[in-house]
Amino acid sequence: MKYFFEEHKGLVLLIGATLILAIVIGVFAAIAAGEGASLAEEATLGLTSPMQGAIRDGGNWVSNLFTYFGAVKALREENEALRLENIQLDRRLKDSRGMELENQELRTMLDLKKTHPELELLAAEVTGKDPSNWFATLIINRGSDQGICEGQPVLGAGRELIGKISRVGNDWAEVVTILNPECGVGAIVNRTREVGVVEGDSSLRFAGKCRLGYLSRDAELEEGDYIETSGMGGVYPRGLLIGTVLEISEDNTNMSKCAVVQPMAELSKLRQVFVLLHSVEVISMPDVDPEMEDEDEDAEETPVSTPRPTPKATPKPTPKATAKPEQQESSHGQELRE
Amino acid sequence: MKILWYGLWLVLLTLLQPTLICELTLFGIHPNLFLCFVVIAGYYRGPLEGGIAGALFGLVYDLLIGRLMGVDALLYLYLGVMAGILGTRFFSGGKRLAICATAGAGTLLCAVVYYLVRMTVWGDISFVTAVFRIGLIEALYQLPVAFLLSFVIAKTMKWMRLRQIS
Repeated sequence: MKYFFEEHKGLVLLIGATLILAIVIGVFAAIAAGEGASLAEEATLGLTSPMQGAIRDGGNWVSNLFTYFGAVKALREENEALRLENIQLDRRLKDSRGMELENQELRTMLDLKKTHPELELLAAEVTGKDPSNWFATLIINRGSDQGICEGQPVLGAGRELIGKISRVGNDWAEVVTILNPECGVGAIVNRTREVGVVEGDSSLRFAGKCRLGYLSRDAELEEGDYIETSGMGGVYPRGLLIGTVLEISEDNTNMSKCAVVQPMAELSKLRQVFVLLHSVEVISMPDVDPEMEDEDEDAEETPVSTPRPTPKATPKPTPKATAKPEQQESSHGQELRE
Repeated sequence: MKILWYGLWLVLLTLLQPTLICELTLFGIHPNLFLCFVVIAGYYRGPLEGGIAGALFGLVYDLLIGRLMGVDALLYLYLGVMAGILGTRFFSGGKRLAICATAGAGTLLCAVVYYLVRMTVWGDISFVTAVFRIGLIEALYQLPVAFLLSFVIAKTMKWMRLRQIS
């Protein structure tokens, strides 16, 4: 027997250990099936659990750290991709805004052509400005090849006056704006029918304003009055919008009144303009009701001389054209009825 | 190479001045790169080239404006020669500040001459507007512009292997 144990020591130990473990498992299983944790279990796990927790947290932290360092590259790449995408989207948004504005501008220009079919208008793009600080001029990309001549009026999309052609090349032309002192325009105050001359002023030019001068001393002018071309002088047709009165003052000589005028066209931001190729006497109003049109026919009209040799269109003259079509209609009709 | 350099600058300024530069306004005033270039050319290349460049660039500037033809050509010719003389005789080193000062003073001087000519021809501008509202602001604006432009011009001279006369 003694020899058996000595000879099969390993086998005996294995069997012994298996039996002990089987007993332990059996006891623990019986306890687990019956009550809660034993005192021994409580003592063991109660002591080791916080440590296990700490160790697990530490392990998690190390694991997170490795994950973080592993993800940094990916995050950086993602960040870069998002940044580029953001730039692209921003650019696209700005482009679309620009296109929207241009679209709106072109639509207004198209409307002008539709509402005033009698006008032979040539659309042109502003390509440059006065290179010096001394003259308020614009360069457009249309010239004599497209039928542009010196002295032709230049309008904005909303039939507001911008200026006139002063120099012409084959495919370019220079426009003297109403801010330039060289440009004098026969003007009329829409509300009171006072006649004056709008001209550029060297000191007001930088504020984007011009001056309405040669008004009679007792002219009843108010701030906000609309000014339009009178048609006198023959260069500009009657009814083109010039601007609104900002400030009224006495002339230096105290013989007449003058006013500071804010042009309707935003001359510093112009991109597209129209050149009026053939002279017309009056720019007619759009959307005039038939009743008023009949009255218009009866209304007396003073003839206006036109410098261009062959005026292509001379529309029905309207005695009054105002800045805003809505206001235009009401005041126009009222005056005619009176 | 020299002619090419002047030609390239002439084309560049002719394109930039009425378009991009006109948008860079400060109180409604924009800088004048033509004048700056003439002054810098005078300082870097001497009175002869400064004078020739002044006349040529001034003439092109006059053509762009389309009024008072020859006034700028004459003014810039004198300015180029003056800058060249100042550059060779008085400011052999540290030219950039001298360039700025000359560009500023030249602009103011041009404004006075322009005022006199314009008063004679059209009579539509006051001295205060011409000198203080236009000339002075433009002169102040020219200082940093000339300073920055001098770096660009010096760089292009280096590319074209043109040496600075000192």
